[in-house]
Amino acid sequence: MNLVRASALVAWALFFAWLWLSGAADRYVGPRTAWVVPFGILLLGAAAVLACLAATSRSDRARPRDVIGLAVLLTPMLALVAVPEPDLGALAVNQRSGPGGVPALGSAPPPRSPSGPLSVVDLQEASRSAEYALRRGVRDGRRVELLGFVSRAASGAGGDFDLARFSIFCCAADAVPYVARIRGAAGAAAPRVDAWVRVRGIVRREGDRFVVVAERVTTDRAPENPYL
Amino acid sequence: MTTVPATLSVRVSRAPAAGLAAAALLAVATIRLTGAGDGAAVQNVVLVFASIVMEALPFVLLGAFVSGLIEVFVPERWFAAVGRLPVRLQVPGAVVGGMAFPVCECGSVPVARRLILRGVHPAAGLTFMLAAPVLNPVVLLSTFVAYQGRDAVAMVVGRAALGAVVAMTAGWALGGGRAARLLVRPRSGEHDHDHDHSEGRAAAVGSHVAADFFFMGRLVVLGGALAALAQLAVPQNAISGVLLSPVTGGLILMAFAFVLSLCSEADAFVAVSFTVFPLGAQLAFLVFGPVLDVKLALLYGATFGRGFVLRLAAVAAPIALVGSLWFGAVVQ
Repeated sequence: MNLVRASALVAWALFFAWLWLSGAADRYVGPRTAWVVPFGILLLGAAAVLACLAATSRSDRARPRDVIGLAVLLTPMLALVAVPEPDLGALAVNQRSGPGGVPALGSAPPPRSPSGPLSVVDLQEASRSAEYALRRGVRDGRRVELLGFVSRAASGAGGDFDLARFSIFCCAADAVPYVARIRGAAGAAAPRVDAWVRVRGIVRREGDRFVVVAERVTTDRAPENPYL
Repeated sequence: MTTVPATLSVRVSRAPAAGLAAAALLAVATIRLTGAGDGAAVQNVVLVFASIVMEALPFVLLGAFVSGLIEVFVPERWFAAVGRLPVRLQVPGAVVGGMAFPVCECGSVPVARRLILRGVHPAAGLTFMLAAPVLNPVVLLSTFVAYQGRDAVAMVVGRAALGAVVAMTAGWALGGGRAARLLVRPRSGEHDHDHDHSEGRAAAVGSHVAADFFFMGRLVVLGGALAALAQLAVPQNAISGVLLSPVTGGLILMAFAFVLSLCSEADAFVAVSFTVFPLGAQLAFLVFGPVLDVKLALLYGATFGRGFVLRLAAVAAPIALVGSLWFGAVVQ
C-alpha cells in the first residue's frame, strides 16, 4: 500500500514538473496563482521522497481498492492525455455571457498597460465605459490588430462575426469571456466557430458600442497562453 | 494489516491492476482515435476539471504535511493539556489557530481530523477547519489586494468577522458530541493507522502524508470532476434576467461558490469581478465558498459522514446570507 501511495506522489510530482517546464500550466492556472505549480513541485517532491522512504522501511500488501484509488488519483493526467490542450471556446463564451455579450456575472478587466496594443478586452470595456475608452485610447478610426477565436460565426462570406478571448484570475474554472463584434471584410470567407483568427481593421463607434471593421482576416495559431 | 519487514516485497493483486491499466489505455486510445475529445463540451469539462485539481492538490498536500508533523512531532501531553481546557476556551482558541495556518479549505480538513483524533474537542477541531481557510493571512491579504479601490478594508474585516462567526457557530452546533461519533471510522488499513514510529520519524511523516494525500486527493479529483460537470450543466447566463435583490444575489453567488469550488487563497479575485452583484452578495460568496463546495462536500462526507454536509449547510448558509445582508446594508 505504501508503495502504491508513493507511486501516486511520484507521478504527480513529475506531472507538475512537466506542467511548469513546458509552460502548459498557463492553460490551467491564472497569473495570480501560477506560483501554485512550483509550490506543488516542491511539496510533491518532498512528499514523494518521504513516502518512498516509508515504503522501503515498512512494506505491506496493497489491496485492489488501493489500486482503484491510484487510478482515480491519476485520472486528471489520463484525461489530459486523452484530450491534450483542451480549450474554452464558443460554448463557454455563450454559457458565461449575458445579454449583449457581456459576462453574465460581471467583469473586472485584467490590468492593461495604458500604451499597449488594444485587445478584445479593451473594445468590450470601452463600450461600457467612456472613461476606459479615453484611458486606453479606443476611438473611431484607430487601427487595430486583434487575435482571438470566433465565438459566433458569420452567416456568409463577408458577414459579421464575434471575436472572443478569455481572461482568468485563479484558474480556468473562473474564466471570463470578452467579445468584440467584427464587421467582416468584403468577400472574405466566413471563419468557422472556434477558429483562431487575426483581424486587422479599423475601430468604429456604432452608438454606444465599438466594433472593428475588418480589412483583413487570416487564420492563425492559438497562442501558447490562450488567456489575456 | 499484514506487514512485511524491511524488504520491498509488495504484493499487489495483479489482475485488477492490469485490468485497470488496460481499461485506461483503451479509453484514452478510443478518445484520441475517434476524436471524441474534440467536442466543445468535453474540452470544457476536461479543462475546468484539470484546473480545479491542479489548484487544490498542493494545498491538500500542505494540509497532509501539517497533519503528519502534528502526529509525529507534537507530544501527547500537549494535546492532553489542550483537551482539558474548557470548550468555551478551545473554540475561540481554534479561531486564533486558524489565523496562523496558510492553508485553504482542502488542507484544513486533514489537520482538523488529526487534531480531533489527538484529543482536541470536536467543536474546536471543526472551528479550526472552517476558520483557517478564511482567516489566514494569505487569504486576507489576497482579499485586500483584490478589492483595492473598492472597500478593501471593509471586505477584509467583513470576511474575517463573518467567517469567524460561521466557523464558531458551526463548530459548536456540529461538534458537540464525542470524536468517535463525529469521525467516520476508517476501513481496516485505510488512511488511519497506529504508528509506533519505529521506522524513523521521517518515514513516519512520509507514511502519514502519503496516506492523507491518497485519501483526500481522490476526493478532490472526484469533486473537481463534479464541479466541472456542474459548470457545464448550469451555465452562468442562467441568472440573466433574474431580479438581483440582495437576497437573491447572495443566494446565487453562494450557489456559484459551491459549484466553482475555488481555493480561498485566490477566490477574492473572482468575487471582485462579479460586478453585477452587490458587495454583500460578493461577501456571501467569499464566506460560504471556503466552508462548503463540491469537492469539500466529498471530503467532509468521507471524513465526518454524509449527514455532516447537510447539517453544515443548514447552519452555515443562513448565517452567511444574513451576515452578508447586514454587511451590505452597513457598507452601502
